[in-house]
Amino acid sequence: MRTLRRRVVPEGIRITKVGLWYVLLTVFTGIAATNTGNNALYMVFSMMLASLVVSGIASRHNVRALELEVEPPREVYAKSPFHLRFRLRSRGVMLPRWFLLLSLEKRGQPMLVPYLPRRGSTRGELEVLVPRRGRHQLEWGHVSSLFPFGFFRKGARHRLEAEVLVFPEIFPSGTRRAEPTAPTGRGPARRSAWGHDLHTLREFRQGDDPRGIHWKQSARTGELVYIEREVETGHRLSILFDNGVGPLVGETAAERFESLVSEAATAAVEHLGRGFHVELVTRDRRLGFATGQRQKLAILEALALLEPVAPAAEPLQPSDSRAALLRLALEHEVAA
Amino acid sequence: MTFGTEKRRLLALLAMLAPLPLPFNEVLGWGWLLGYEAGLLLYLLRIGRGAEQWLSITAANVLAIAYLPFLLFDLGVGRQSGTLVAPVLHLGLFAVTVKLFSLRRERDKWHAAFGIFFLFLAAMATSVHLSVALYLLVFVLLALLLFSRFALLHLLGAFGHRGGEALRVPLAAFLAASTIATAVVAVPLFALLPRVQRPYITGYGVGGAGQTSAMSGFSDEVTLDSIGSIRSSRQRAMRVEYEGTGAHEMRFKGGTYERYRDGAWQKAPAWLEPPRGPVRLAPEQAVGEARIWLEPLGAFGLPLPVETVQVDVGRRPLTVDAGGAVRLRRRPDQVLQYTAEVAASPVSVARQPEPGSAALDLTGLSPRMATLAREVGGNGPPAEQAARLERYFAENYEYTLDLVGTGGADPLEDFLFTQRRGHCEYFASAMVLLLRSQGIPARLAVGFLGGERTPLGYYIVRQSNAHAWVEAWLPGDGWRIFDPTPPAGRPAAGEQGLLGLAEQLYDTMVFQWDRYVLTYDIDDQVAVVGSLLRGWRDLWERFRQADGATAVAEAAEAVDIATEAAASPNAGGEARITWLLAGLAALGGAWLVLRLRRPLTATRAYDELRRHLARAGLALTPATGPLALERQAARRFPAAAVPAARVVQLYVAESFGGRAVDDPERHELREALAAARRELRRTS
Repeated sequence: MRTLRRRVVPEGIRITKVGLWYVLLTVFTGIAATNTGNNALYMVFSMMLASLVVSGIASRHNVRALELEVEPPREVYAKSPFHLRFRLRSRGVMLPRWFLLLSLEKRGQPMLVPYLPRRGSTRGELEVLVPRRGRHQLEWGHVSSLFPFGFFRKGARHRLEAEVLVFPEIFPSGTRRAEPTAPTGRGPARRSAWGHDLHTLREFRQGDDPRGIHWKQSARTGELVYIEREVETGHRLSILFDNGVGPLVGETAAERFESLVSEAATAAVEHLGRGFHVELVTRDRRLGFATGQRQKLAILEALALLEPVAPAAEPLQPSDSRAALLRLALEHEVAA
Repeated sequence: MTFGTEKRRLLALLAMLAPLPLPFNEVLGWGWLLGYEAGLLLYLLRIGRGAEQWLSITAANVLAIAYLPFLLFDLGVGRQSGTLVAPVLHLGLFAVTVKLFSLRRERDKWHAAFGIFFLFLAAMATSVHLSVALYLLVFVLLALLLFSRFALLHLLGAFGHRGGEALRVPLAAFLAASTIATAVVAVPLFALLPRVQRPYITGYGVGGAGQTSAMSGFSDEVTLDSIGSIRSSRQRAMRVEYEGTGAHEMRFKGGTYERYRDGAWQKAPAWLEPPRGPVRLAPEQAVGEARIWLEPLGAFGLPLPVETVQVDVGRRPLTVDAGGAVRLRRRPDQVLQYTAEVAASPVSVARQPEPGSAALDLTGLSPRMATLAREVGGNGPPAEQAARLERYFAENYEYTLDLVGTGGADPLEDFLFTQRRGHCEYFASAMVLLLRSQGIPARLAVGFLGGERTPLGYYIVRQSNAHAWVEAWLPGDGWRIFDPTPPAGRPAAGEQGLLGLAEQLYDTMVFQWDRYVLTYDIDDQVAVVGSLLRGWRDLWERFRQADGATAVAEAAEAVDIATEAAASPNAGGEARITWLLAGLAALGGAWLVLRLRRPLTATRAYDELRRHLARAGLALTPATGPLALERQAARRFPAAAVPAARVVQLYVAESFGGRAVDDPERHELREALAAARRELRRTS
């Protein structure tokens, strides 16, 4: 969790409809007082002006002396809303805070904190949507408030120094356009792994993954029976992403490039989810075959930070020629 | 409770409060108010029962149309009586009630709030009594509560809440504090908002209710029952503040009367004094001053202490009569402030020291009265005769106010020989005639005797302090005061009980309210702003070169002075407002200085450290460099070595390295300097 408190920058003041009517009534009262010379009306006028002053001071104070801490989730995907956990703490010793609206964008969907006691704190989650992959700076936390009387909406932004690595957009299942080629190598090897085919059934031993327990057989025999599966050497995918395309000219090219990155990410996530060993090869990076969560994060991170580099003539080669291939390039997207 | 229910309830409470002062101001009948309040009570009851059926828009429109004939009739009645305020208020009450019963949309609630504001404005605009300040405060509190809750409920509603949670947001303390803050901020605003019209109410100092009953005690002709009726009044006649004098009798002369005709006294002849400022009345040496605030009593007389040697009423034309009593040419219609320079004892010489024939006029003297004068006065010097007569009245007659109106054809004869009881005017009148029958020139003097000392040190003289006494001409002594009224019947000066104290405080508040709120005008503003500017110039001169800490100390001192001056009984109203504003300005100035003060640099911190070390006894010369200073400080004051070293280190970095300190380092500097100072103070 990173502490994201720093200096406060006022974000101005916006009058509400109620506030506008109140100001108009104040002006009306002022005119009535001036015209009649009635000091009782001057009293009302003074009180109305004073309440505007008090409102301004209170609202200014209300959005200050706050500490904002955010905890980004481990996996954040572009164009996919995620929940950002936050902790808002008041450093105020004199007054609590009321009616706080917290958001990460000035006009973004806010989160309401109706009351924050003196030196108190509250936790919550903000729904955030980041449109693009890559490193994303959460620079400011925006706090605004209608407090105290709803005449004005006063805002202040609190400096944040959080950074979120946004993974590429993952396309919904079935919408991916590029499909990998079928593997060209041998069938399954006769050894235990996480393939689809059954290798053998044996007694469950300590350290085995409980997910491998054959429950029906276990119930039948009264002993825990473990399923050993065959390793699927054919279940390997090599994603060859040719980012050697030089500088991207025009929005269309950039969008196409981003789309290809998302294709690669989607393929990687899908195949890793199915137990594949996946490799990512780009012009400037090679992540060898591996499977599991760590590989998924490594590939997504690499894709999140992938940038076009200088073009090169030679084609990208997979580490394992028998593995299924997914070639992605800007000019042509081929399943070789 | 749903949000809608809470909003209805708040609006209903505000609506119930808004028109409350109207019947007291006599612009709305009590019947109307009670009907309106009953309607709103019914509304609140329906809210409490959770009613969901309210008037439809159509029904509200039908009611509005049905009201039209009555409105026309009401306007006709209003036109006949010369005021259209009542019909408009009736319409307002009707509209608010119907609107509340037909609230549906959010905007309807705000429409109802407008109607309530209109009623509130009408109530305020027609109010003059002090209690309206309390009404205003309560209304503001309730209105702020309404605005806050509406804002909160609006937000909660927007986030999908429907009820319940809002109740857990504590706002009461904040609302109370913000109401007080609003009132405090409103004071200078009220004082400074420009006035282009004369105040709506001009007769200030009259308690708002128009205390216009004439004080006949100072009219040209005084009947014997005049003072008796005045003595039963507790209304304030004037406020008096003494300065530089010791014990004083608190006897104020407002008029002298020489001719007695048919049971009434006629005023002594008077001379016009040109309007040229202070008027000298007697040659005695002044030893002090009395400042007097006279209520508009509907009379010309200007009550002055009997010790007065000079009076200053500004440039108002005055007349001074043969007895030295001062009169105005025009009756004051507002509180009149004037100053009297007073001698140590009552002055005995009036403008016309030698008594005229009127002082020996025997009209009204009967043979029986002459016989009584001879028997009681006897022979001897006039002073002895007068003293015997004075003593005779005090010992043989009884004081009463019941004699009012029972004087018969010859009230003095009746008093002396039949009733043998009366009030001060009977005693004084009888003694004047008895003195004259003995050949001693005498006249009747009326005014006030005594008063109540207030906690603020000044006196309140009430109409019940009205009194009459005798002035007799004694060869060699001039005009001397004799008071034949028994001591029990004389109005006395003295301290009051708790109730009296409360009454005095209330009087003071009413006076201040009338004077500095209801009738506050452009002249007051000019006076306030003028003295404020002078005060500000002085403060600015003092603050200009000062750093933050000194500024705060100076501001605190200025505020102390302001508070003291404002609380002083010697402070006039404008002065109090001025001092109050000056105090606020001082605080504001200090705040500004603190805000604008130069940020702490390492060089400034180093200079300050040098000063502290030198003050603690370290021998420093201009040639002592920072590192030498650090070494010497460490040797002599080991406890302060670490913070001093940090200051020196940052100074060296800034001064020789050209690197300005950043915010955390500035904070560190401040702390190091404070720690060094603390240790140095402790060690030395």
